[in-house]
Amino acid sequence: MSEEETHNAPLAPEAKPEEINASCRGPVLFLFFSAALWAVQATGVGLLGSLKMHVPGFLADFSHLTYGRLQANAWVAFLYGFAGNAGMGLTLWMLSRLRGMPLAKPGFVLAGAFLWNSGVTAAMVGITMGDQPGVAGYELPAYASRVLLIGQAFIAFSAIITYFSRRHQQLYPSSWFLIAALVAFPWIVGTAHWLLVETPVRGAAQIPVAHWTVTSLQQIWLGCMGLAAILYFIPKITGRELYSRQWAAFGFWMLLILGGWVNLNSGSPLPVWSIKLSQYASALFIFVLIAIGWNLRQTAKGVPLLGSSDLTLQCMGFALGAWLITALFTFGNFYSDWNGLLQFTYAGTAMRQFFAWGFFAMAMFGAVYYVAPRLFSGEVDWACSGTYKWIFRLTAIGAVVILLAGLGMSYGHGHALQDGSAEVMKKALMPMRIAFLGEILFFLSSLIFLGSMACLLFRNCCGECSPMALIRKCRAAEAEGGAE
Amino acid sequence: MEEKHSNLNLKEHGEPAAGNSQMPVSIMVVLTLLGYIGCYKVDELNANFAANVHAPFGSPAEVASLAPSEAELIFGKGKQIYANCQGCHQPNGGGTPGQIPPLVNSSWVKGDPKLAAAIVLNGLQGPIAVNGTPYNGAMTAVGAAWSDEEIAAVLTYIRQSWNGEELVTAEQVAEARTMIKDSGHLGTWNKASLDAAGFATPE
Amino acid sequence: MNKSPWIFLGVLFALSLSWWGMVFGPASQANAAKADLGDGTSLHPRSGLAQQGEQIYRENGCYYCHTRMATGGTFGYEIQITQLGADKDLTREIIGEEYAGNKIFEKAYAFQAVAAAQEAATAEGADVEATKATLEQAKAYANAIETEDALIALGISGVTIEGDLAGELGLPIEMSEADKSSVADATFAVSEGIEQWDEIKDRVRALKDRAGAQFKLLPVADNWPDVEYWGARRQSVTRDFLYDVHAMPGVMRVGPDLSNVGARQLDLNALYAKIYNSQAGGQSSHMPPYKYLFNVRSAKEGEELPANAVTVSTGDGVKQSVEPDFVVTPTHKARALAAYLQSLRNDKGLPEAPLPAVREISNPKEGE
Repeated sequence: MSEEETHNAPLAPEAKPEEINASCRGPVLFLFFSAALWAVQATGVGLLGSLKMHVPGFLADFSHLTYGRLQANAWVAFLYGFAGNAGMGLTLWMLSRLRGMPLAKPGFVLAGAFLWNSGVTAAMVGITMGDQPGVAGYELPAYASRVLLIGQAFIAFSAIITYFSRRHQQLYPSSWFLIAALVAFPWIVGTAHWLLVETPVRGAAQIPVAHWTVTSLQQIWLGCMGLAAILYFIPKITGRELYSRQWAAFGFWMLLILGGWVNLNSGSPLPVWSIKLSQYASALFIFVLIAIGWNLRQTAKGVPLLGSSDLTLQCMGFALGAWLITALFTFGNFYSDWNGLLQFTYAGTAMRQFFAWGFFAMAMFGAVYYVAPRLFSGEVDWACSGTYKWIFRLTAIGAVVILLAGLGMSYGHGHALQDGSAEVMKKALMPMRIAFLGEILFFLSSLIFLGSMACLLFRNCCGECSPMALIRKCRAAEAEGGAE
Repeated sequence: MEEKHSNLNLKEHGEPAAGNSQMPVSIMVVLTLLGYIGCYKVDELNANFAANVHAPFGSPAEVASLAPSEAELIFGKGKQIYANCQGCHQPNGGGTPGQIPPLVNSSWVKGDPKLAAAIVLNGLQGPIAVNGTPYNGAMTAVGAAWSDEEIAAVLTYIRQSWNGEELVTAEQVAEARTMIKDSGHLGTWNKASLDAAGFATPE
Repeated sequence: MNKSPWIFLGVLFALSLSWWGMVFGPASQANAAKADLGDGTSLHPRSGLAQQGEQIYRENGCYYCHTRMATGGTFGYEIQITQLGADKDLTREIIGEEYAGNKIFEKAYAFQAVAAAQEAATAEGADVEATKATLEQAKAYANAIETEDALIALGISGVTIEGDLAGELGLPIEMSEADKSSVADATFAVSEGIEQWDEIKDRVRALKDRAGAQFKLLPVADNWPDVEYWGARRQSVTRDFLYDVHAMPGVMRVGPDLSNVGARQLDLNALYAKIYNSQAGGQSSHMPPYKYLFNVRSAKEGEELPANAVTVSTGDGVKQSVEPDFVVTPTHKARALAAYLQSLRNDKGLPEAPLPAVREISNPKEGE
């Protein structure tokens, strides 16, 4: 194919979109619905935990519900439960579509998804019993990570077979990000499982390993899956082409190289060289920000993203903004004084929540809004897309609240720590109290998401026998009867 | 009214394509420049990847400057080893009048350290006079299993704490060992055998 | 970028860069760290209850609200001369006029001159006149200077002045034990406590190599919040976690930093009371109560509290049970956790992290 031919024309798929969608239906819907369940669980447990922070005596008599365990559970449910399921479901659909081939080996995907969900359940049960490995941000007991790795391997196997089913084709940048996420996950979790849980290295050596794991899971695993979605849906829905392949490649490689280094607290008990290298990587992160931001800005020039009528585009626009803000925060961490001020405050946790919900969950919500109805055959829509809009609104408001509370109010806490102020406890709790409102909004938004998914499935499952199909038949029969 | 997206698939655009807009060369120039400056800064601040330099220290030289000197380390180690001696010779080196000779201002400790090294290695018994006071006890060969460095350390501690003498080196202890071997003496010393082996005992 | 194998390989290579730098590099350095502290002592792992307590700490997720890493602040150095070098002019040049003009400095060199004169007088062909002149010069310094300063001057001069001569030079003839240790421990500061390493390193090197002086380098905390306000004695370093089964440095300080809590929480009963209910005794705290780590049974009428019951003191100093009308005793888990917390100390200096002097050590402003 000549350069001009591949330049402007959309790729002509070998298989029709309907065929690809149909092949993805079972596995991907299973993954999406699991994700919805986990989202509710994650936010619910997170709410309970946060409540205990503000009302310490609430349900304090049960060791299984102690704050430390609930925090770990909430993050496991979000990261592996929601993000894992939604991300992998979207990965499979996008790879199939971009390759123009139906999803291969769906049985493997279902087996993998089942194993994956079992693993996350095992992790949550284990943490409730006290088995958490002590790594904030990773928190998988040994038995859980083993099962997750096997489950992911099954799903990745299907993705790889789909991927290799057609060659000689120019790859769209989203594919690179998705491949990176598929390859990165076993490496990251494998490292953590092996070096921190299964045969732990000595305590002093665990600190850098733990940091690399947590930062890579966020920046590379979540980041790549979310950016793949943004890079796919914005051009696709606006009908334009992505501005530049070169910029995308530049951003991709920089993200992969830098993602594991960044965001090390300057007060970490590591030698000075580790901290300086991390700050160097954080400083260079500005280039990833420029690459992704500029590319998408030029792609969507003239098209309002947040003000669009298309909900997916709104979600992707917000997700992009959130990613850029977190990237800016990462960049800011190169400056020791600023990082030193905020390192033990709520700011870090708030940015993690903002990244998780404002960027990743928002991208997933937008993607599911687009993808899920198309997986069904025939005319399918969301029961009330007006309801689905509330997912966007609540998540957006919640994310902004957490960002402002976490970043804005943590300065007080940081200064109190530096000055030895007696008010340090009060200042520590202020941002968390406001952020609690954001967490309530996330919970509500997850509930609506679950409800929407359930509604969609219920109304449109079982093909011709689905309730919607029957209703349509009735209406058609009525119309015919009326015409007679 | 429900929004119907009927004929969803037809409304869909094709799969997105990536355009070929070139990245400006200037961005690579800026990256290289900043990358270089960053490397330079890191080089300046990273303390040569030393494992023992933690913030707020900036260099291995700085950390090393605070490290105790060789002499202080030997003294400290000797103090640790002296714990084996203080049962008899007391923590302040005073000994027990009439039974255990003192180590403070002792003519047996001052002077040639090889004498003290030989006593630590093989023990001492029989009548001796320390600073004019007679003693007739028995000291076991506490240092029989100790290394040259350990004996040197404890002797340094004793000499520097209570005798105003400078430190004892491991070489001097090794010399003492050689002298013992050459003399062919085995077992605990007494005054006469020490003199015979070449270690001049004070009166 | 069209060939899929390149992307796979590229991803593996890119990840391996951060893996090398952030996992392999630091972890192998940390693995190679020795427990030996160089002065005959070494770090040792926790044992018994304290070791089990680490598990309890992990199980309850304490690391979500507490950090175990004290961070470094800024500090300066104080150069303290313990023995002057022989070359007066060179030393004066190195330490600067500000300190060289001090009476102690002058006197110390005077003592050195006296000792040299004495040695010269007892040598062959002694010049008695020169000796007398030196002695007179030395006596000229022996006026209006405090005995304490004189003892310091004697200490840093590195010479021994005996009997009558001592009296002539204004020193106590019969030195008490206290005086003797003043001389032995004498130091003379030749820098402000806030000078940075870069400012003084040349001076330090010159003193050591050229002037032959002996000195101590004392780190002094300048702006070090964790040390000044939050109970740490120095920064946490890699070797503080050497023997931890799970390093849990923590992420956020909702509660106080625990890197030196063992040096602050010496009262075991108070520690139990805090873990049982952090708001006991009217304290304000948001730490959840950990009552399930304790055995709680209702108190019988008029029962005397057993020895291991957890108590709080009322305003008039009377001890009562932390939970009124109940007897609270710690379970094995609580005792293990308390033992672990009391093992957390960073008040011992390490070669890579000496204890800085703090001008005024303030107590942590927050209730512990």
